[in-house]
Amino acid sequence: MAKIVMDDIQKVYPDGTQAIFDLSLEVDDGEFVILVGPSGCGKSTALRMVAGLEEISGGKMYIGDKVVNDLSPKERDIAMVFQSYALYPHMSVADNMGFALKLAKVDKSEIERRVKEASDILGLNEYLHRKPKALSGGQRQRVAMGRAIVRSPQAFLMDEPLSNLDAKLRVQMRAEIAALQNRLGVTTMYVTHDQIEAMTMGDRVAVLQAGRLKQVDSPQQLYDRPDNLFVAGFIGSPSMNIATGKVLKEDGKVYLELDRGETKLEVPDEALDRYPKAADLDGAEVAIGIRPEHYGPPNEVAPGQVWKNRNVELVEMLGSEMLVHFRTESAPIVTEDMRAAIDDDEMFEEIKKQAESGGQTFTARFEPDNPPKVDSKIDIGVKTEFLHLFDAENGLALR
Amino acid sequence: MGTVLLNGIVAIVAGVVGVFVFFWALNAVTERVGGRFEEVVKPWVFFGPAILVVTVFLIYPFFDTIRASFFADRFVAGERPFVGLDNYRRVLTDSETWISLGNNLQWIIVVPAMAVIVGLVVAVLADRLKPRQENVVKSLIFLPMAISFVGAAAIWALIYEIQPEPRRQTGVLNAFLGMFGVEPISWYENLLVNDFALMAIMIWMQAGFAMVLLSAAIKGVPMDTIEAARIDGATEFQIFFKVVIPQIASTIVVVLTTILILVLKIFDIVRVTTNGRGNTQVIANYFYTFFEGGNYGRGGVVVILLVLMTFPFMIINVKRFREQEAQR
Repeated sequence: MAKIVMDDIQKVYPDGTQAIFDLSLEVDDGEFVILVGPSGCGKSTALRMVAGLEEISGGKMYIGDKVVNDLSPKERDIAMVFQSYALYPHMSVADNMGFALKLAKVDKSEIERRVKEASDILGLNEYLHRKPKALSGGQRQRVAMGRAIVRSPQAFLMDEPLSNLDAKLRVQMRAEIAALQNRLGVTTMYVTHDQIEAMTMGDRVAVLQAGRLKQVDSPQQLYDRPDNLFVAGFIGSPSMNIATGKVLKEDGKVYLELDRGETKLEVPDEALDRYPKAADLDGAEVAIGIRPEHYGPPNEVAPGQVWKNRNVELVEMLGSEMLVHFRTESAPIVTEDMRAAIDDDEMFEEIKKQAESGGQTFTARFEPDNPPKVDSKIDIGVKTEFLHLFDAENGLALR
Repeated sequence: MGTVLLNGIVAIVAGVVGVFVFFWALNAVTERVGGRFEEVVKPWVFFGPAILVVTVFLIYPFFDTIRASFFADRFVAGERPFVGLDNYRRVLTDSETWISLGNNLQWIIVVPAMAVIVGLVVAVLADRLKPRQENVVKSLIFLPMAISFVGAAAIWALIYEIQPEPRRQTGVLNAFLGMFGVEPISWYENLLVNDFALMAIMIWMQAGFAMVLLSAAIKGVPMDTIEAARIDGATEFQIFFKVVIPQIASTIVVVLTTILILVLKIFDIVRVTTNGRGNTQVIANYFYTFFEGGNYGRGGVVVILLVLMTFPFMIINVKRFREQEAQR
């Protein structure tokens, strides 16, 4: 096992398009790091460069203490799990798992022992003689894992290994892979576009967008302290509500002006401690982020934190919670960053349309009692101590 | 020349238009009658003629050939008398039968295998070219497929040509060897090489066919499995033989058996080059020679031998093809 270090890695394709810009990332020995990002963000390319399947255009890549830039995949001693599983269709499960060892001229009895060991762990014993064709999706996924395990490699690389499974199985395998990695302690890089996988599985999560690393942190840190608007918008479901507003200072207190002056919300010191730069920006436009769970009944917040007269557009009852979609006259941020963060062109077009009208729809998560009527006006408490503030221009957190 | 060309054009136009009018008319008639009758009869209107053609030109002659094999080649009192197994005895004791059988066997072993190997090599190499270049290269290799066997043999006659000394060698091969001081070789008569010289023509023609199918199969091998093998530590050779080849095995077998059946019936190339001289005789040309001489009895026996040889390969091919279809 070894640590993986990417030092200022670049990827430029022969046609001149650059897929990865200045990627620096360290994966510690035994650590489980997730690369996450919208489709086309370069996360798979980054992983394939670690594997040696993709040439590195610039920078240095280390596995252990060795620079591996010019080493073939074979010499890097890593194992990879592919999205399609990439099982050899003509080989039995046992042969699939033992193929790498056979190529390495490992003793036959030793191969058998290690395949047996892996199949014990994965519960594949009854299937060892079957061909991949005769296995279910989940079993194939396990074989792909087994193929990685038997080798005891320096590192596991996984490229969206769960995306071909149905939702239920995905949840199960998610837990299994995380537990397995924990147990084996093998350095692991895991690529996914599914932020739930990212949040639940890894020790740390690296968020990529358009070939650039936006933030690396533990899942909770990523959620609580996003470095920029992209991470804020991308992590979390339903997404963070983000709108433009103004910072105002009055009588030594800081307020946020929303709805084009119609609403003023008080910002307590807790929020300003986290975003100190905001306090200096009297009268400036900023991007304000509020997570759906940071709303509440008006009586639970200070009087200055009540957002009055909101028009209810839609109420979704989800059993354990209730999502209330309400109207604000504060404009959304319409940038390519946000398009990537939403990762859904249709939804982005919808937001763009709303932006033209000068406002947008926010989503608040409440306890599921007393659902408000659609088209009624309600007052909503905003726990502004938890809000997030970003520079409206460059999208960086105001810290 | 002019009239031949004209006849050809007329035949093509008349044939195509004729068939079209024929089916159109039959279809119109059934539609006019309409009702349940139309539903029942319509399929037969379209494949009935095909069945008729196959029956008249394939099944009937086949059984007539079997019948003929039991009757004498010579006329007695105006007709061919029944001779039992006499023709079989004569054919099976004729040394040329065994030469033909031996040659066919040689063709079967060498030609399909070589065509597949050449096709495979070209397919693999072409796969590494840019798409534009790949298409050009593959089209060139495929080109011989479009030539008739007779045409191909004529082209190769220019390659194999030998001139009596001291004339200059005009055949490509002998001229080339002459540059290294090698004596000219009579490619059609030299017993060591003549069979292979003829086989080369067939390989040249069939490699393109093999290449097209194998190339498609290679492109169908998932890139992921190749990359997985690369990560598993396989060399490019190991990837080819242990990952790619097994995944295209069923296509290889189909190509092999298809060419094999073609080779079993090999006739034209031998006919127009050596006509069986120099121990190059093959079964198809052998029985054709019998038919030319009006020896329908012995000719029939040889045909039956050929059919018996073809049968198992046909069965393998159909079975393989079904397996492949089932995999899809």
